[in-house]
Amino acid sequence: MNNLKKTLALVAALAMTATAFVGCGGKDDASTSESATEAATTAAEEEATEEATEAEGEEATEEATDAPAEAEVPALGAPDGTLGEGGDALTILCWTEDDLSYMYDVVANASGMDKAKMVYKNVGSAGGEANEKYAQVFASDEDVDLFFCDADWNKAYQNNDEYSAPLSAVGITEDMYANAYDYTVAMGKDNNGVLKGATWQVAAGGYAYRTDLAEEYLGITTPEDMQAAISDWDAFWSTAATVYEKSGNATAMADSVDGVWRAYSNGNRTSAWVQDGTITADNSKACLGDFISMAKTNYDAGYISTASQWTDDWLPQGMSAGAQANKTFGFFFPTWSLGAGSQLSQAEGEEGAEGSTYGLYNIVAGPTSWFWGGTWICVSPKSDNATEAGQFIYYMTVDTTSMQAYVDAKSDFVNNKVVMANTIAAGTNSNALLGGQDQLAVLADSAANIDMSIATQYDATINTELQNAVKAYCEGTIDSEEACIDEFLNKLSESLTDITVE
Amino acid sequence: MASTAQSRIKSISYAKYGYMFIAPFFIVYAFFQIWPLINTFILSFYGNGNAASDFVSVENYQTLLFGGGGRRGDALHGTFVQSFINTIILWVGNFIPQIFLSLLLAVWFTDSKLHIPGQGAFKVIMYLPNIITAVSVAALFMRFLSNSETSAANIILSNMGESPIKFENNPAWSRGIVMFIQTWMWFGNTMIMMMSGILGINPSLFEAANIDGASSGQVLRKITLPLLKPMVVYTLITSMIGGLQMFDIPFLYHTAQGDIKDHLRTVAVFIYEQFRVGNNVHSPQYGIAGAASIMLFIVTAILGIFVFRMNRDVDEARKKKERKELVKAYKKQQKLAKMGGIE
Amino acid sequence: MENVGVSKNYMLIQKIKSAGCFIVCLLLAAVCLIPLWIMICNATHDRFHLSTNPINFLPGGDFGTNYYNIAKGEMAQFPDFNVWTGYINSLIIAGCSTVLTVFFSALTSYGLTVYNFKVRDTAYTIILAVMMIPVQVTSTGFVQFMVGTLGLANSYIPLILPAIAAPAVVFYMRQYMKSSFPLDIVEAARIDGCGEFRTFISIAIPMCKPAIAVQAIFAFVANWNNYYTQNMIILSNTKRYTMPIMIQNVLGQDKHPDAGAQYAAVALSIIPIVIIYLCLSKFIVGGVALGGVKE
Repeated sequence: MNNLKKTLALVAALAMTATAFVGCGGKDDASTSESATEAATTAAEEEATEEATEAEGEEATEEATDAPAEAEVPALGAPDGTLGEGGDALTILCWTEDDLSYMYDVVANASGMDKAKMVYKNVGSAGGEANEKYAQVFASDEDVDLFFCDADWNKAYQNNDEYSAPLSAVGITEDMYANAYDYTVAMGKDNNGVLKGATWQVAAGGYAYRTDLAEEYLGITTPEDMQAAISDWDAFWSTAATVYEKSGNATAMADSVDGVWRAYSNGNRTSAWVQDGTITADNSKACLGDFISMAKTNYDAGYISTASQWTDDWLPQGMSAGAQANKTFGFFFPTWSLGAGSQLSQAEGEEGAEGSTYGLYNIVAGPTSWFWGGTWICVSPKSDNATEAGQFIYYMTVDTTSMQAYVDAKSDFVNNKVVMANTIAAGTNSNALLGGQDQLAVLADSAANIDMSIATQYDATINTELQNAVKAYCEGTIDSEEACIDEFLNKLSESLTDITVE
Repeated sequence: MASTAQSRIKSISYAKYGYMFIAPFFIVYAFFQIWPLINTFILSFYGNGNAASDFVSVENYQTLLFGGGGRRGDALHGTFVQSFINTIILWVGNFIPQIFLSLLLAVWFTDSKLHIPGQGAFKVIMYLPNIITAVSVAALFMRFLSNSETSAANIILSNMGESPIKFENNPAWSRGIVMFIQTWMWFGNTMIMMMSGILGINPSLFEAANIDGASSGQVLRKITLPLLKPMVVYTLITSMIGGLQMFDIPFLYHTAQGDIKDHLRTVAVFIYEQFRVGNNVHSPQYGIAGAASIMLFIVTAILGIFVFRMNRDVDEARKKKERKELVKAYKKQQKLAKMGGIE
Repeated sequence: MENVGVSKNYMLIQKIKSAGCFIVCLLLAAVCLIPLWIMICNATHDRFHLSTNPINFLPGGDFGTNYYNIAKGEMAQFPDFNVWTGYINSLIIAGCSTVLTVFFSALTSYGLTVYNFKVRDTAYTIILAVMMIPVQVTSTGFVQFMVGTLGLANSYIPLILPAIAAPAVVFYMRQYMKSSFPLDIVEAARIDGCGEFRTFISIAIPMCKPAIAVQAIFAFVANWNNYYTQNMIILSNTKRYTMPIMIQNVLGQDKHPDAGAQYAAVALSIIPIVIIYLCLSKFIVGGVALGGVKE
């Protein structure tokens, strides 16, 4: 009996102390988030103007440096001591581990780091949801040294000092990116101009099409002819009409409404969604241009497939057997969808399998020069491996030799103009998924044109809501274009709290 | 009377054990549930996102109930009202077939004149869907019927040369499917509850009816149903509470990422979306989520009081009454004695 | 008892009625079983077969292939899928929670039934009231507190410890004790000099075995199936993933979908619980009825 009393008393005492903690914890949370959010609002206002001026400068220099000479870049500096050292493992937070196995080799070879030291934590969700999962991981005390951020939402992390440390803390400085594509540096900076993230890839977009269908329906045998047939949106849709008719009303030209939107949004849109902390109906219409009517007309005509991106219907359309066989003529894919194990290989199916279209694709620039996303590497302020974190970023995003090794292994479009120019000139890159075509050469021009100055940290939400509203209109659950825009703005206003939707 | 008094004295000296025995429950509960609930209540009076630290009084409630304040207020109001309507539609749509089926089966399984072979097996099978996790159930039905052209129904349609159906987009289809899944999962459970209700009816009533030559229909109408009414009402209310909290299936039944359909969004889904708005994680709308939660809680609590009333042991009520009367009688006596004393 | 000299006609009518009811029951049982049967059969066909024949009533021979494709192969659905890790983790959580739930619920309801103290009715009312709180209402605060304040991400503590407070189980057990636990036994034990806690352990618990068994099964199933809370707490440590989280990961990846592998994963998550259910079905079906209101 006495034991019971004692135990109960102990439990009660524990509970008391714990409740006391609750009180403190709650207050702490409130005050930090308060200051963080305040900082974010003021910063967000500055951002728009600052970036706009930067971007103008970039474009001018971009064209001049078409065939770049290798600029000298400084060696990796020493960490500035604000972060910890000597942790067990270099932990990388990500939502897909496909690229990482290649990176381990590259970084280990270049830096001499033990390959086993690098480990990843996969939050196990689609890219859009990873954002949410990250916030939970950061809220806990888990070990994270580096984390990958998608272009749609990297600004949200970079602008929060609680989640991201300046790259200078691991010995990375801006002058190391002399050979990089300029937009990647601009996107890596927070609203105060501090470099917080770096990327290894340049996400130029193209149109990957089925060569066998092109020959059958259009009599086209070379990528050059294909590009000529879809050089702008009008040409694209008139070719779509031919494909649809010749295929017996079975094959759509575009893989999904979402894909068309990605190309249109990042190729034809000239206005930032959010201006002065507001999204207005007029500005939205300017951003949308004729997209909604274009999507509706061509969807109804059967030129855009009914599938949605990232659903079970999407990628199987690329095969020649199965329920989704030949439903699309091609996909709007960025560079990161073209490597081994990525979306293109998923769309083709395993080599030799039934209905596999392995190697039957070619890529062209498509109706517009566009880009899609990209992944930035950021450093966690709680990192306990500053040296290794610096090495990882340096050898993946700065060092010419190791980046060349990555291109040779993964055939990705890397963020280094010298490496890209050399690879294209040498003609060494041959992508088996594209029947041996070199996608890097095709997309180099689009890459040079990428301009992310109109990106805002709300783009992820905006893209999702817009795609859902436009698909609802296409599928007939919304009656008119007017109602579609209204629905889109309503949904935005519900989920965005710190900007006004009019 | 003496024994009541005795036991009372006894139990008084043991009261501390009562506290001790229920203490762990309440400590853990306070720690893991009550604190979060209080927190939710407090949050409902504060702002959303970046303005989370501003005290806004009842503004969140006002927005949800009446709208106003620009596009945002009206949109939230519209969605919230729609989510309440959806909740009611989905609940009614799964409750009616569920109660009908379970009553029918319960009456059959307890009817001594019917000889249905394999009754035990039927009961076990009908309860089976209730033990499977909602994630798996939703995944299973999504593979059968969904917007996706690779769902079983659409493959069959296309094999027949028909055009595929976007099952999620059509309110009738998607609500029907959600109602079906809910009924599928729960009718076995309700059936067994009903059976226990029927088995609790005094068997002599059925015997008497039998002797009087009543038909099965008459027995059902005149005896079973009237006496089963409390059970039906109890099921109705517990199911209503469950229905108000309906979350899993409406939340999981969508193909495209984050594309929860307006005609399937229940109040619970609405709350979840507000505090975990996908890409807006750094400024969740705790105020709106809190206010919606508290309103849902109030509605549930009102219904809950009914269940409690219904459910309170008849025995206990009678005892209470007796005790009251005893006290009354005692007071009366005292009064009388007092008055007697004065006189 | 009845029907002495009932006409043949009447017997025939009853027989026809019985047959009619039997057919309806058979149909309903089929509705319950067919989706599950199709799922099991589909799990044994590969994705090529499924893409043209999405509904199969006969098992095929490709379960091994599908199982392999969940975690391995060129188009692995979820490389970290490990069915044994999933089972063991789910088993740890469900097992510990179940023990805590039934023990403390029995303790609480014993306290509420046997002892008469001031706040008893209030306490019971509170327990009934908290049964009504939807889990979504408190989850914001819960996650913030557990993961944010206490740093318990990926820990099993926030998943197991709250099982001590299970209002619905307390409600059920109190109903049961009220109706089938005679208080005289407690008095008799006291007279024999048995301590209060010992009385509870050695007399009350054995006497409430049927109720405890039923609630143990329910608690186990509920915790095995709990995806909502687990998903908020277990974030990134794949070695700690439970079965429902593994399933959601298999289904939710941005990969080329392999219908066969997906069916196989879902089947693997369901089959153990179905087997346990069938073995214990007598308790469960009887037990649900026990919890009902007695009129």
